[in-house]
Amino acid sequence: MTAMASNALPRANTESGTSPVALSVEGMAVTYSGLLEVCSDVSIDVRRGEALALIGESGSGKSVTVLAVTGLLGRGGAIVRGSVKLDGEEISHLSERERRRRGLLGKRIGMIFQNPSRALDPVFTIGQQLNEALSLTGLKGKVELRAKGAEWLRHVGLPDPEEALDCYPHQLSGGQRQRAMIAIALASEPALLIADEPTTALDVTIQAQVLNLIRRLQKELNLALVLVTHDFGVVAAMADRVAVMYGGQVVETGSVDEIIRTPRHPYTQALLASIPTGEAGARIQALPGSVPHAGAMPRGCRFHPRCPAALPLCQDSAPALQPAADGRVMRCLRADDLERHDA
Amino acid sequence: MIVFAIRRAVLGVLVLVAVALMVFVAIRLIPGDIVNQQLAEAGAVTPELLQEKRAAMGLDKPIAEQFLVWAGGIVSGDLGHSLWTGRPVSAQIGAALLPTLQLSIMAIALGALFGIGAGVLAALWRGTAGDMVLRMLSTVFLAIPQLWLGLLTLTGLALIGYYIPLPYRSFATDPWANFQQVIFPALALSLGVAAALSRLTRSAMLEVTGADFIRAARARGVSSSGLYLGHALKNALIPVITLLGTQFGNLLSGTVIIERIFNVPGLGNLLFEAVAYRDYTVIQAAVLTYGLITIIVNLMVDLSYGLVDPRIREARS
Repeated sequence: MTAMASNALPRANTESGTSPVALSVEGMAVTYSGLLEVCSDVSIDVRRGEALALIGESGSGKSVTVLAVTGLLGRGGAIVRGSVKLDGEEISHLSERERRRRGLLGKRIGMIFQNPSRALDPVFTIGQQLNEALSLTGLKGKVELRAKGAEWLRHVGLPDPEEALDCYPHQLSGGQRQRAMIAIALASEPALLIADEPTTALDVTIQAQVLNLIRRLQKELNLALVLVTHDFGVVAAMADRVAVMYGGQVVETGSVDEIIRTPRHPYTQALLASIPTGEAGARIQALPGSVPHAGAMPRGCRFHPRCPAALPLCQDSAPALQPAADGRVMRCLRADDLERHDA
Repeated sequence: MIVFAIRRAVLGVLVLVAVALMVFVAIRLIPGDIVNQQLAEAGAVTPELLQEKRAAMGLDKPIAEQFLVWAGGIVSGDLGHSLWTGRPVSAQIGAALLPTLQLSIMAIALGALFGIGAGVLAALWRGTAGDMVLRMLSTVFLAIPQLWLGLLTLTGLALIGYYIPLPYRSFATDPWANFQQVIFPALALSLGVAAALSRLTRSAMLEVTGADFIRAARARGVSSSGLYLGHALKNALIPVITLLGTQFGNLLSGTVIIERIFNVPGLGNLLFEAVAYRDYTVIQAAVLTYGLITIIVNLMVDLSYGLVDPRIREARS
């Protein structure tokens, strides 16, 4: 895998090849109330300084995956199989208290949410919420907290950081709120940053600014970044590697270059084909149907009912996520066929 | 903010005028006026004597004129004199106001403490036995009238051999006796308030704890107490404060009977006796005082929204 990948994206890969793995998820399954399996087999790796995009349709399990990693699944949600390791430390079965004690909430994993208007507490000032994160670093004292808080807000590009500290969320614009949210997520100096569709709720004009900011900070601070998105444009701009998810499973991983230029898995191909090209009159190839409900997953390959390349075999045997002959990692019974077809 | 307060104050005065008018007319519509009451014990009562008495008290004039005379007195700070004892009403109200304020403030504080506390606990313990017990208790106390709860408290205390010291002492003269005299009626009054508040607090807390900003706060490492008592409670407090205001009105009406039961010489006790004796001037002044307290409390409730929610604070300025 490395041989081919390094040809495609030499810089990013030599970098990630040497730096240690920050987050490693293997075969993780998540259920709610022990019944509904919303994630069945998720395996991802992210190194320090590397950005991994997690892409898929709504209901593919990408948000649940990151919530499971951060321990924010909520009532009834639990990791039932597989492992989640942060810097080599197994964290999949920790209680909230234990997570807090080990600094997994905030201090080592920072999280940016989809909608900054709802993720910021409306009745607390930005400064107060920033202080909660700052205090995790051991910083004390009103003056020190204020100075550091203003520094962070300046760092994320808020025009008037001192004033913004005393603002309530509703007094800021949507883009400013997301910048403040990013500052709060990073203020506790985590090594892993998780961004769950950080620009979906923002105006198109603001989206690029916020994405650039996240990318810049990720590089500056040498963060491991997991970015959840359903937008290949975001993937191309932001990520080093991609994991494509379908029906609660990772179905293909690879470098951004590989996935976007030569998608191999039929689902990845269908996703890419459904992107509007921007050419007038060009038809978009829609992928018919939708992700099956977690309670009604088909037997065999989960994608086979919608798959253009499905064989009778796909209805019965479930493929595993494994390296194909050319080093691409994918979950498909026809992986080797498709590769030959590709070449 | 100041404009808002002034507007509310003007509105409050209008409400007071309406209250004054209503109580003035209503008390005169009750059969058996004060003259009848006063002469009830006398033997031979001639119509002339009744007429003479009424004229002496100014009750023979048209009701509109009586009202204007009384209202004019109030505007100039004169509440009139008791029709029975001839003592100035303002002195009676002044003496009765303090025990009532003390009782109702203690009761509302206890009610808020128990109610919000139980609501937060029930939300934290959602679905467990503790939650069930708290919810059952709140239903029970919501259903029991204050009057009966008062009598029950008194009887219960007597059964375990405890008697509230008598006569009534003010806090200034004997704090310990005063505390014993006020704490039980305050408790009896507070439980109904607590019951209503706890149900609302529970549901408001549950709604807020499902919000995204709670999850985000958890993600940045905020402690459990910070999450529930800081972020969740402050957001849940707005509907709770509204209810607290309306509950204060209920509580105030409850003081009339509770003061009677526990022998607290407050406004309620004064009003109770004045109604029995048809002492018009005292009744009117007492009801007006109740109205004034209610209006002030509502104003305070309205102002306190701004303390909790910056968005309301801004909308007003």
